[in-house]
Amino acid sequence: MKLVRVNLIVIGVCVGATIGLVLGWIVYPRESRMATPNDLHSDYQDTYVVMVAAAHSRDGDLERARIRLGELSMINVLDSVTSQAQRWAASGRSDFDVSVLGELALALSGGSLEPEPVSSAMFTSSVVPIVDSTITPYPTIIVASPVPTIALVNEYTLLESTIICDEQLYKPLIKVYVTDAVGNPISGVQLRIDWTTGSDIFATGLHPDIGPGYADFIIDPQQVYTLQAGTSTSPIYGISSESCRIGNSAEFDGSILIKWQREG
Amino acid sequence: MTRYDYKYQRQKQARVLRPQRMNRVTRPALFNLFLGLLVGTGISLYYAWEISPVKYLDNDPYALRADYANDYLLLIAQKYALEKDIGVTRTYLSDLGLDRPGEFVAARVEHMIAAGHSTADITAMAELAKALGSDTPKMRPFLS
Repeated sequence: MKLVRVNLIVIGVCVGATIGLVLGWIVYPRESRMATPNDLHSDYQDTYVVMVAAAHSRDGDLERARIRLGELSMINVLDSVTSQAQRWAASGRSDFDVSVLGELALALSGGSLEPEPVSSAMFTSSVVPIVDSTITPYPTIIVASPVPTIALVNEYTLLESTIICDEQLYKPLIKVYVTDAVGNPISGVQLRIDWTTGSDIFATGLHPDIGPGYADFIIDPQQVYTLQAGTSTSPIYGISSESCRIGNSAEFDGSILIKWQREG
Repeated sequence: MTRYDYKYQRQKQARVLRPQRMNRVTRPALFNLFLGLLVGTGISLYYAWEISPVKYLDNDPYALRADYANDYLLLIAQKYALEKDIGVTRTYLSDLGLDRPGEFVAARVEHMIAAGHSTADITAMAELAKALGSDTPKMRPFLS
């Protein structure tokens, strides 16, 4: 009789546990408002990062931004923010969002949020070699050819557009530098590039290691590109890589350096 | 064996009756079963709600825990303070599932003032509350 009583208790506990788990997990689960930012849908996580970037842009508190981003369990915060900035720039998101993401990426990389005064060094990327007089790029200059039929208000003035010969670059690039009227680099400037079979959008400020006003785009030497800064500036047509040769070395595809300055 | 042997008969009856009595569910047995059910249900409910509650993935901001939701609201306010785009801000607020966002933000501002939050945060929240049509006397010193 005693054994039977014990068995009934065990049976009761087992059945009760099953009922309790069904009730607690399925029928009446605990109130769902227990999520952390890391539990949000990826779209909302992206939104969260943009808001953190905007908050950082407003208060300049990098440590607070780091703590907030730490809630997302990112493996590499800088890479994640930079990657998102690139994705958002490419998908045509608002300039504001891309700009604050660029600023946050720059700050996370250890750069200053304060715009630095422009100098000749600003435009000297570490990957651009000093070219001596034996270099024979041909043709040497890409001429900007504004659209004659559309009257655009030039928001950005083209300062320079030249071929650069750099053997160290494994693929030819379009390198863009954008500054404001007084020469400070500007991040978050949207750049639209078109070629015969496609188009893309990229933005300055996504390479904080080089500078906030810098952007680049890998080009196909066989293609001819059109590049526009912002939305109301005359595009530059006919951009293409040209062959370069340094000394007696073999020919290689040159890159293009373009500098814009915002008017006013 | 002419005499009726009560003792023998009692033993015999007991041997016969015992199996019948075992098949019957007695009151103590019922009590034990009920006790087991109660204990099992209680322990498993505690486990299911407190120790290992259901974890939802791919949540909306609506599901954020209260402290994270408050910070999310502050982030919305900080972005609004810089961007000044009330349309985008309303979209973000709708993700939080607030019935009356203006009143909610205003109440939150008053709570932040009482709790001694930073002036910059309170100002951002107060600006958002004002943009949403809620304005209280306590938040006015933080509005320009």
